[in-house]
Amino acid sequence: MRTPDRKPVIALVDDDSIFRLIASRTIQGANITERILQFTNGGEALEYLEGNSGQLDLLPDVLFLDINMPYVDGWMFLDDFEKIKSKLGKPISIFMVSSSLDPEDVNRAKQHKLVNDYVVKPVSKETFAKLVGMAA
Amino acid sequence: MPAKKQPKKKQSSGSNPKSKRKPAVLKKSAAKQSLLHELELRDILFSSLAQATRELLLNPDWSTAMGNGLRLLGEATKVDRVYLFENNPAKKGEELTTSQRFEWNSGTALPQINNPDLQNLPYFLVKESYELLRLNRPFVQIVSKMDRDSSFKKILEDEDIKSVLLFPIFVSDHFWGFIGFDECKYEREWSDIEFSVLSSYSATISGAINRKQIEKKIETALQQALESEQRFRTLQQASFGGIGLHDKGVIIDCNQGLSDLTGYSYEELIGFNGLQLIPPEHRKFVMDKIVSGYDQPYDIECLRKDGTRFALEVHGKSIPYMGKMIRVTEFRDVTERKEAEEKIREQNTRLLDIANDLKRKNDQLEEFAQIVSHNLRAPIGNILSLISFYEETDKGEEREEYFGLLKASSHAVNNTFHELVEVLKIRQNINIERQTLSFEATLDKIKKMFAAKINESQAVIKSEFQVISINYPNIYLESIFLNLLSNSLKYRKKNVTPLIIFKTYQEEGDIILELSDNGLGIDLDKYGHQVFKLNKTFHLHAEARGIGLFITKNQVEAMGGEIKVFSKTNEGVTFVINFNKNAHS
Repeated sequence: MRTPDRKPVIALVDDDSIFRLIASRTIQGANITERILQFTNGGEALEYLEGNSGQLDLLPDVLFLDINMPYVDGWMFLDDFEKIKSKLGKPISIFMVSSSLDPEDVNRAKQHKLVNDYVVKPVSKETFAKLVGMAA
Repeated sequence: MPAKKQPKKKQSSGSNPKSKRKPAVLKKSAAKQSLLHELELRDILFSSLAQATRELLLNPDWSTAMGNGLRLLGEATKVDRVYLFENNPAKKGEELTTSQRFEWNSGTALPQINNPDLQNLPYFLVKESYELLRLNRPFVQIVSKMDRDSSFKKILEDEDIKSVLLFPIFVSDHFWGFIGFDECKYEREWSDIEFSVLSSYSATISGAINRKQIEKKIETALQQALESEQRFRTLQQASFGGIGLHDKGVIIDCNQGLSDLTGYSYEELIGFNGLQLIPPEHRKFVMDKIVSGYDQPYDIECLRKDGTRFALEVHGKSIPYMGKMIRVTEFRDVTERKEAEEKIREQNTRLLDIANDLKRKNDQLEEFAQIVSHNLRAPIGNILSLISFYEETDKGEEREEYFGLLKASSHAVNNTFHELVEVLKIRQNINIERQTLSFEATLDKIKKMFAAKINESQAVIKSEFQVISINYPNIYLESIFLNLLSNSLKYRKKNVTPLIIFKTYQEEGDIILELSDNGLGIDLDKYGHQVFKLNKTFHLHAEARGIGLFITKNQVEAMGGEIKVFSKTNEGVTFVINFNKNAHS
């Protein structure tokens, strides 16, 4: 659990570099954190989480996860995250972020027990602030 | 009333002409004369008996034979009446009665053949005779000496009978009736010779009746057999199919239906080995059924005399026949049923094809929805965000940065859009021109395009084209080879000489192209669902763009084919393209 005076660590997992740039600037604009981690696919993110398990300062509090990525996509990330989450020492709130309006994706995400919510791109400042506030 | 006049002098035919009218009662004193007379009489009697017996044996007409026989004996013995009574069949507990069947009359006595009293005459009215006759013993009686209260005596007296002799007739140990002699002229004592001749004749009659009964039985049995045969024939002919009796295949009998079905005549079929009605390749199957006594219907092909074939349903059953087991087999032409079944199967296949086709189309639509969702919406969302960033800032430096990103995003949209259009074109353009293409020539062309990379990687590329050519759109085949080869070269293992093998062969009439390499492979458990999707890559590789296999899949499927992938991580990959998989519908 993070202390109330500390701002949360936020992770962006997305292969789209332009989206990552837009998202991080939006989050910075919302003034909700100073620390944003960026990963280009699920595999990279998992590697980081496993490598830093127990190091509560380095692990993210909130993770924005894209669905459609090369190599390890959003769904595969969730499968693997399930296996390691107990070792991390810290709960991580996961939001799925995608441009897809496909009900198959939306429902699957909303029903997934590891996913807090599903957000459609583009994501506004207000939405980021609200979601991070929810996770706090 | 019967006249008491002397019997007329009458020669029996064939009897001794010297025989003369004699006094009725022989005087014991005239012994010599009596002896002569007796010899004469014996002559006549024997000759008559012989004739009467011959009649019964040879004359096919029983009535005539009996009539003649009775007359011959009557004339020879010079009695007034000779007759035959037959007992009526009686059930247990019923009174036994007897009826007169034949009578010969000398003319002296009144004929009694039409006397209704002598039909169904109860034996209790003539019980003196019955008591002896039923024990197979003769009844000899001088009427005047009978008990005065006897009903029998009264019957005899009413007919002026003075002396009576009855011989029982037994047939097969059964009291059948009797033969009788009446003397109306005097109270006659019967000589031994007369006695034995009459006794002999009654035995002859008994034999004749017995024979007649047996003949009758045989005739009835024959008739029944004939009727049964007729019934069987009628049933057989009335049957809609063929029926045959056979002993381990050899036909014993059959109906017209089997002839109609097979084109062989009845005569040809009898003694014919029925297995020859079955095509050689099915004979063992059928023989096994016969030998095992299988009794359920089954379908088989039948061979007609003219060599044509048709669908047959066979239903055999083993039955006992003259001490051994034979088979009754029913043959039914099930061509119509088979055709109907075939039709249903065809329609089923077509429905399945349609369902598969719809599923493919649906999958494609979903795929498009996915592409639109992810590959088009994402960069457009970026563009919208970048525009608002651009508007919100005054700094020229930042604006320049956003402008550059806007350009990149538009290019991404444009690229995706072009790829989508290309795939749509492939899917729409199923009537694209095909031509005969050599696999070897196509591979050579693609190898030249990749010459630099092949050289750099030292890749070994082998080909085993059992099928040398295919009728296919040129640009598609080139594109397929290009994407597969590019894929294998890209995902090769470091420090291992790449080995890439192309093969073609036939499988159930379909042309198959197979590519296998010794590269990195793909973890299909993880990525199996993504292999042929747009912009999917499974390796963190600089050149991975994820477009090639997506295009390849679309080209193959648009031409009615199918592509599959087999792989394990670090064990290389095998792509199998069946060019004709869905082209049959």
